[in-house]
Amino acid sequence: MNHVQSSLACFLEIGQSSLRVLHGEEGLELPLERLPSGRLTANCRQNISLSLEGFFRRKAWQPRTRVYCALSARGVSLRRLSLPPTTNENLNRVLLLQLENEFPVPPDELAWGFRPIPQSQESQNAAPGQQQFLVAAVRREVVEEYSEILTACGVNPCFTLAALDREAICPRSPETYSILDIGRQHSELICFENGLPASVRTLPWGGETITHTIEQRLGISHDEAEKLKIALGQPAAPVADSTNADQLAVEEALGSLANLLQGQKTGDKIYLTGRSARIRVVASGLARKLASKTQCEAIEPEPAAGRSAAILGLRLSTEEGEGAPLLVLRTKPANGSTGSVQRAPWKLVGLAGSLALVLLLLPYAEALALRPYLSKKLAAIKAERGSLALIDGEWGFLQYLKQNQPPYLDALYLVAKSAPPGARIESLSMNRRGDVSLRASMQSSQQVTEFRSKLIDSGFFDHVTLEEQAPVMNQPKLSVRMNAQWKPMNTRQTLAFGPTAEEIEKAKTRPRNQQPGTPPMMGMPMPMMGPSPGPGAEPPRRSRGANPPGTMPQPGAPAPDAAPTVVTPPGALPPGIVMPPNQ
Amino acid sequence: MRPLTDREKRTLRFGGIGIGIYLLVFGGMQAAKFLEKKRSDYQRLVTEATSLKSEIRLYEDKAAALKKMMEAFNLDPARLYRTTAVAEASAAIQNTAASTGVMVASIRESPARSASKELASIQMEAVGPAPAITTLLGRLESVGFPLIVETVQINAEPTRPGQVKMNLTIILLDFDPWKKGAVPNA
Repeated sequence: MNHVQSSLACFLEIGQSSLRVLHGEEGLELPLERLPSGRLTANCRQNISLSLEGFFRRKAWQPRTRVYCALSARGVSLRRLSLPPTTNENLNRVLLLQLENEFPVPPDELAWGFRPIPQSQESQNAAPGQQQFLVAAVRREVVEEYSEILTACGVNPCFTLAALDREAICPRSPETYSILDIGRQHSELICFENGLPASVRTLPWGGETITHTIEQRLGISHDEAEKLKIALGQPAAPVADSTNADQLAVEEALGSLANLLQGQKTGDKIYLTGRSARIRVVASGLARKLASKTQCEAIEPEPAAGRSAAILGLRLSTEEGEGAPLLVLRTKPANGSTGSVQRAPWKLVGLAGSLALVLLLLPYAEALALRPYLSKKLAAIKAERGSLALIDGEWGFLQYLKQNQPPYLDALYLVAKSAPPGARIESLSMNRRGDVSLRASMQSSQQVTEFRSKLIDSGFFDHVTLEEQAPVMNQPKLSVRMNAQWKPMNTRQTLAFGPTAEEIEKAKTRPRNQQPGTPPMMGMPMPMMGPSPGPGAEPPRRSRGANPPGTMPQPGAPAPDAAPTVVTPPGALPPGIVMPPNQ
Repeated sequence: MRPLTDREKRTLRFGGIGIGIYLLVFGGMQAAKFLEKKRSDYQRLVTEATSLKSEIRLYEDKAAALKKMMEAFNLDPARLYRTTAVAEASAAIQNTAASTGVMVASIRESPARSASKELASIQMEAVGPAPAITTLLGRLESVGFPLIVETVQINAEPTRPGQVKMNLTIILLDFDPWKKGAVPNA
């Protein structure tokens, strides 16, 4: 058995008067009360259930612990059966037929098990070609009683014979030997021939017999006799002394045991187990009492809770594979196999399989469930994709419109600001390509030079050309014609020109009848333009009818966004227009 | 009916298991192919939706900027009708001139060059005080029509002191070429 299985296993021995259980290094020993029929009393069953439930402490999510239960030999029959060669499928059926012949009880009322006997150990009188099996059987209700109790405790029992399990801890030097397990009231004797179990008996002799003999011989109470017997089993007990009264009492009790063993095929050696086997004089005394030269040797392990020869032998067999394979007693036909009695956790396996299937199918389920929704949504988006082309068209159109808006007001502002006092601009023409042409009259050539310098210094114009400068007849003036070209948009957008905050404040405090920034002779106001917008910048936000930046609001002009309602006749001034003073 | 022997039962059992495995394997393969096809289609749709989403995200910024520009120009290109645009633009220009105190002397409309995607060219002569003239010049870009002032000529009006005369050549742009995705040369 591998380590994983054994780590989950637990070992239990059900004797006639006690129950021992070992789980790991933790042990428990419980007394048993039986009815005359051998069955457990109701009170005992209840106590055992409560104690074992607390001992196993199984969580709901944990798998059931496998418990190997070693049963006492009471009521157990052991047989060697020879069967003709058959297949594994038919083996169970053939064995059932043999059981009907060998046992007085129908197989349905038996809990039985078997194990094949290796050919090297088969008896010589076996028919050639036949296979031998060792079969053990006990009444079914015996096993079922224990099985119900253990199953209710949340464990998975697996029943074997304690007498067979003790074999694993025997040194096993001779071919014929026997193991005598001394219990409290009874002893179990199993005899081995040629290394194979030949018979199993229950003897009406036990540790209580020794106690009773000491009690009678020494004339002490039962409790004192029991204490004396226990003291004889301690390691510090005195060595065997034929003059010691209590040891003589033990040897006297062993005499009755030797009488019981007479006629049994105990073989060359008897291995003694059980608590009473630890009394030093037991092994030697029994050997002396036996008429034959049979040797006796005590092999009882150190006393501890939950430990006995059967339990330790069972643990050796399952964990380390020592000794013969386990003979498992079954209450149901096992179909010829000696496989595991622990059911696979099919519910967990099914759950794990379902989860794996769900995990596998989840991506597909997503595709199946969401695909119609996604298709529908994509189709709707594609149908509305045409509006993107419209956005592109409108975007391109407005960008083109914005980039082709000529900066006429900027040019007017710069000309008005650069004009010297006394200058008169006769005409000014501009076009979208940036050509500016003006005709003006100025008082001196110095003013012309300054005017030109200011235009150039503004950075707005690429070049300013003085086309003609001539004196005016009979007047102290100069007639000037200039051409200029403003810079491309990408160069202009870096410029910052326009009225400063101080100029704006001055314009606000200036008398209303004086036009701020108006060049002489023309009455042109100073356009209060900010920096020229670049290609990516937004055009100035003005609602329909609102004044552009730098222009003066007209008194009495209609409010912005209001539709004009006044129609002026040709040649007449619109209402609210204030005429500048005549030049 | 004759009861089946164990051998026959075993043969039937093996046959049933074999047929079951066959159906499981080939049916499973068909189902797996079907599911895989559905899944690949779905993946393709998801990829398409992702690319469409990124494409539309670019247009969100563009649409916001477009809205601002439309508000600034007081213009919705989608509502421009080619047949009435010239008349409406001319009327809007005159109304704006009147509202700013500029007297419109004459207006001449002429069809513009089609190669430049222009709808019409309007030549306007106006007289008014200098502030009103500059106000009109500033308001022309937000009259609600795609107007570009091609030329401006401002002269002093000797007969009317305090007033100036302005000659404007205004171009009305045609939106239709942009609708078709073309870009004008000019």
